[in-house]
Amino acid sequence: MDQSRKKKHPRKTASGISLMRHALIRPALPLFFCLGAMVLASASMGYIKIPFADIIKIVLMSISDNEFITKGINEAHAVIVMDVRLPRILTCASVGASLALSGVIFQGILLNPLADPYTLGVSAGAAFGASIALLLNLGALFVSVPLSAFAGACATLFFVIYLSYTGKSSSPLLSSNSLILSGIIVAAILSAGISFLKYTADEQVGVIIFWLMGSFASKTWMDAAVTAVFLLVGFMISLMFARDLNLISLGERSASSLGVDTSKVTLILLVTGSLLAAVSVSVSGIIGFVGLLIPHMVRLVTGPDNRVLIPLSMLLGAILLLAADTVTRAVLPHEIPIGVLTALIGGPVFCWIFKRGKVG
Amino acid sequence: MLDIQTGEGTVTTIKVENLHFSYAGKNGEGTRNRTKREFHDKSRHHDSPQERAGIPSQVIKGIDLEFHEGSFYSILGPNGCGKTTFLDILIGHLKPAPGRVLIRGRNIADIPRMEIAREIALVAQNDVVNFPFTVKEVVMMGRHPYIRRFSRPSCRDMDRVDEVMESTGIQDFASRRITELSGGERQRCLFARALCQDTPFLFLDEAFSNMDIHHTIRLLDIVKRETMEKGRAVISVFHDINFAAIWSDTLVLMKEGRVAAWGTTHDIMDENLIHDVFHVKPQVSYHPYARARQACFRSEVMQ
Repeated sequence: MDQSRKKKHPRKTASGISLMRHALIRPALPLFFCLGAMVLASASMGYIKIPFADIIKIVLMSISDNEFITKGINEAHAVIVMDVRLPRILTCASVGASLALSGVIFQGILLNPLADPYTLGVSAGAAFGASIALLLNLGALFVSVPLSAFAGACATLFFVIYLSYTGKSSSPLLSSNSLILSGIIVAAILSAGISFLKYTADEQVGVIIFWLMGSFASKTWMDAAVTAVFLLVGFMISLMFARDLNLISLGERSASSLGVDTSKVTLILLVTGSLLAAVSVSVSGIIGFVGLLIPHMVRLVTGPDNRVLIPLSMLLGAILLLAADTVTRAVLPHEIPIGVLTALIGGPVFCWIFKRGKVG
Repeated sequence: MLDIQTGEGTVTTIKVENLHFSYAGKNGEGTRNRTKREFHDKSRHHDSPQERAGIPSQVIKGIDLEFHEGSFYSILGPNGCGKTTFLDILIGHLKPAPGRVLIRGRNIADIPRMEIAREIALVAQNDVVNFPFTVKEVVMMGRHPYIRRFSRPSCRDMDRVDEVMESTGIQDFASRRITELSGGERQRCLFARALCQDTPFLFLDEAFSNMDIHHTIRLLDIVKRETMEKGRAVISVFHDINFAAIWSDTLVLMKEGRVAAWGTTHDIMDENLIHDVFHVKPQVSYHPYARARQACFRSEVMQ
C-alpha cells in the first residue's frame, strides 16, 4: 500500500525503472562476483593446490603472452589450470546455467512449477542415444557419444511435440497437459529401451551406467565452447520472450488477447529449452534437480517475473553446479558422479521447500 | 486516455458476417488455422453420423451482427449454445469457417495479434494465474500491448494502472501475490488488467461468475460509465438475465449456435422470447427501482 502511495508523485518513471533495476541488478552483482570467486576457488582446489595469484597469472599469460608475468610459474601448474581445470570449470558453469535456464523456460511454458528440463523426455532420449553409441562402441571415435546423445535428445523432443500436436485437446495447439503427458509416455518407452540396452551390454554396462550418472571429468575447451555458445543464444532468445512468458502464465486465451502469439512463443521457447537441455546432457550426462530446484529458489526471493528470474537463475545454477562439481573433484576423497551428488543434495532441499508450502 | 476515432470513414464497429464454426474432428480437435479444411469439410458435416444422431458438430451456424461503440451488449443463452465459441471468434482466438469478423472494416484474420490487443480486451471466466505475480504486476500486464519489447512501463502506464486499481478497489492488495487471493478478488484483478488495456472493445466472458454482488455492481457501473463517457463498447456474456437487463443497451439471445433474437433490452425482455430460449416461464415487467424490465421466476414444485 505504501508503495502505491509513493508512486503518486513525480518520481513515477524513476521509481518504475529503479524497481526493475533493484530487482535485477542488486542480486545479480553479488552473484556475479560469487561466480567469479567460485571459478577461482575451484581452479585452485584439487589434488595439487595452486595459489589464487598464480591462477590469475596463468590466465593472463595465456591471453597476453607477456614474459614479465610468466616469471616464477610452474609449467605443470599452467597445464593443469589451462588444459584440465578451466575447461572443466567453464563447461560445468555453462551446463549449470543452461539447465537452470531451461528449467525456467519449461516451468513457464508448461505452466507447471514442477516441470524441469527433463520433463519432455529429453534426458531419456539423450541417454538412449548415448547408450547405443556406447554399446556399439562408437565411443572410440570420442565425439560420437555426445553427438548421438544430442541426436537422441532432439529426436525425442520432436517426437514429443509431434505427439502433442495430434492430441485431441480442444483449442490450444500445444497444451501443457498434452506436452507433459507425451513427454512421460516417450520417456517411459525410452527407459525400457535403455534397460534393454544395459541388459544386452554385458561388460559394457558399467560404462553406460557411469555415463548416465553424469560427470565433468576430462572436459575440453571444445565442450566449454559448445555449451557456452548454446547458452548465449538460448539466453538471448529467452530474454527476448521473457515478457511473453510472463503473460503466458495468465493462460493461453488471456495471453493471446494481450497480443502474445502463444503458439509461436511456446514452440520457440520449447525448442530453445530442449536444445539447452540436450546439449547439457550430451556434454555431461544426466544431472538432475538443477533445472527443477534453481528456478524455485530464485522465485522465492525475486518473484516470478521472468525478466529477473532468467538471468538470476542462470547465475545461481552456474554457481551451485560448479560448487557441487568442485566438491566431488577436490573435497571428497573419491570422485562421485555429479548427477548423484546433485540429486542427493537437491532432493532433500526440494522436500524442504515443498513442505514449507512455497512451491510455485 | 482512450482514443477512439469516429467519423471520417473510420467507424468503431465490430461487424460479423455469416459466421459459422465447427470443431474439426470428432470431439473438438484444435481448430485454428484450419480454415480451408473446414470449408471443404462443411458439406460433409451435414450428413455426418453425429449430425444424424442429433449431436451438432457445428457450434456456430450463421451469425450476422454489428457491435457499435458506446453501447453495452449482453449475450445470453443456455449452456452449450455457443456463447464462448462466438466470443472466441470475435476476439480472433478461433477462426470462423466460413464467415468473417471485421473490426473497423478490416478482417480480424489480417490484423497482427499486437494490434488486436489494442482493440480488444478480454476478461475470461475463471482464469487462473499460474505463478505468484503480485496484483500490481498482473494489472500492469494489461499495458503489454503499449510497451515495446525491452522497454519499461512509461509514466502514463503507471498512472493508468494506479487509476484503474483505485477505481476497481484493489489498490489495498496491490503488493499481494495473486495466487493468495480468493476467486472473486482474483477476478477483480483480472478485470482491472483488462480495463487498463484501454481498448475500444471490452469482452466479458462471465466475468462476474464468482464475484460478490457489491463488486459486481461496482465493476458493471465502471464499464457502463466507460461506454457512456469514453464510447467504449462492452460485449458481455451473462447468466443473470436481470443484471443483463439493468446494464445493457442491447441484448443478444443465442440458441443452438444461432442468434435467436436481438434488439433493445426493452424489446428482448419478453416472456415469450425468454421461454423460447431458456424453456422457463418468467413474468416480465418494468421495475421502476431497477429502471429496467426484470424477469421473475418461480419454482414449479412448490404450490
